Amino acid sequence: MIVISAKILDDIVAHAREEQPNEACGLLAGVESTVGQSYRLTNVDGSPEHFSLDIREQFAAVKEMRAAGLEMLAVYHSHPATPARMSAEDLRLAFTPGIAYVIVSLADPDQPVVKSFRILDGSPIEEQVSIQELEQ
Amino acid sequence: MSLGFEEIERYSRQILLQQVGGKGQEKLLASKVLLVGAGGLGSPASMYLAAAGVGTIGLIDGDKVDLTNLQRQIVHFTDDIGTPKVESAAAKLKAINPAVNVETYEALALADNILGIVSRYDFIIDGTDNFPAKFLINDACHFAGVPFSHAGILRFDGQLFTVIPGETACYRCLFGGPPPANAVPSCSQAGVLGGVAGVIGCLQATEALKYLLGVGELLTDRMLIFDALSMRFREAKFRRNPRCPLCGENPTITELRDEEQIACDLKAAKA
Amino acid sequence: MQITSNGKPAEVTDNITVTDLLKELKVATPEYVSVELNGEILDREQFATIRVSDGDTVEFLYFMGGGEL
Repeated sequence: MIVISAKILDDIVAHAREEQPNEACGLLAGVESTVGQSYRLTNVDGSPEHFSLDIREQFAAVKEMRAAGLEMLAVYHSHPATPARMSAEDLRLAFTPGIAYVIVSLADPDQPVVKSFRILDGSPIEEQVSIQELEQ
Repeated sequence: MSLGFEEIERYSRQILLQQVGGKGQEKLLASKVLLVGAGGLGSPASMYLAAAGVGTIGLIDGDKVDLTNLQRQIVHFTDDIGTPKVESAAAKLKAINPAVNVETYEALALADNILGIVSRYDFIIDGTDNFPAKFLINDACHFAGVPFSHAGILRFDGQLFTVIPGETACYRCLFGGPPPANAVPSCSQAGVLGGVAGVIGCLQATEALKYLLGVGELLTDRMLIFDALSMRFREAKFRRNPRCPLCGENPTITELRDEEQIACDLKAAKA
Repeated sequence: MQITSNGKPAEVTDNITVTDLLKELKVATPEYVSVELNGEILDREQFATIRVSDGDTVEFLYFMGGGEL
């Protein structure tokens, strides 16, 4: 399972909305399975149907994470018009082992959906997303 | 125990099977299976278990039959709307096979009741529809030492695997530890094609019967994944995780805990 | 020899090429990995010829992308 704070969840949904009609993408970092930080990265493809992370930004983000004592927990991207499911291409390009693949769907603009998947022996299996309310 | 004439008739089609025989049938009649959830998965699973002559079937479900259930929860009929699901199901199971003893628990499966209930049975079927319940069943079966079938269905997909606690990979081996106390599981409504519930629920019943009979290879350390749209089954292999918080080398989960209420609406950033 | 790989110390064969380094680090899909050696991102064509030296800092990341199909 992956634990994401309400604030970060809001942020990745906002990112997805801002990048419409294109797919937004970024990284989530944290400790164990709790995400503490999100990183918005540029979608080099600039497309409503494809995304690629900018490699330089990827290297920079990973170093920032490491300096903050965090590790990469997930890559997130948005589906501006389709459900929060890993497409065959999403799956084919899911090379990084050991992380979650988070998808934000804006298919229903009033009800964004965020799902997380782990790749098990080449198959995407949905996992629980827990929303962490930060203590006031 | 020996089988009466009517029992031999009733179960003849499985007694004929070399791996079952009269002895196997007697085993089933002496067995107890608990279904957590009398819904999409629990419906077909419970019916096949009753039909096969599992002597005691337990059903735990806190809901009442709703019109929206009828599209796939085939143990419930139109006239049952408003009735507790466990009662509706029990009546049909007894109609299928009067010899089955049906034990009903009209309650939500929660940390304070599930362990005691699970401990009374030989095999558990997870027929629940939410992640927190699946973790709870996984943990309870681990502490009670009772094998269970995990399964889930959504839209046109289904998945299942069997866990022998202490021997094979558990749900947490794959999906990790509990969330912090101030975290709430998210949910989203989605549909499911009725037939998918049937496919997976029947597979769960089949696993239960195999376990009770001691035949075949159980679906352990591998997940069966069904994609109804492409009509493909595939298998994902995995292993026990030495860092599993429940069954690993240094467990951090030592008791059952309920998660907070599920949040069905994500806080949405305004457009 | 000792190098730093993705922030952690690693013991690898002396004078190894980047291609062989990725094998030694058990990278499953080397054709989809980007490598940064001592702060410089390498061209893929150089992997087979560039050698890593003692004390070098290597970062490698898998390509991350996806699509609708």
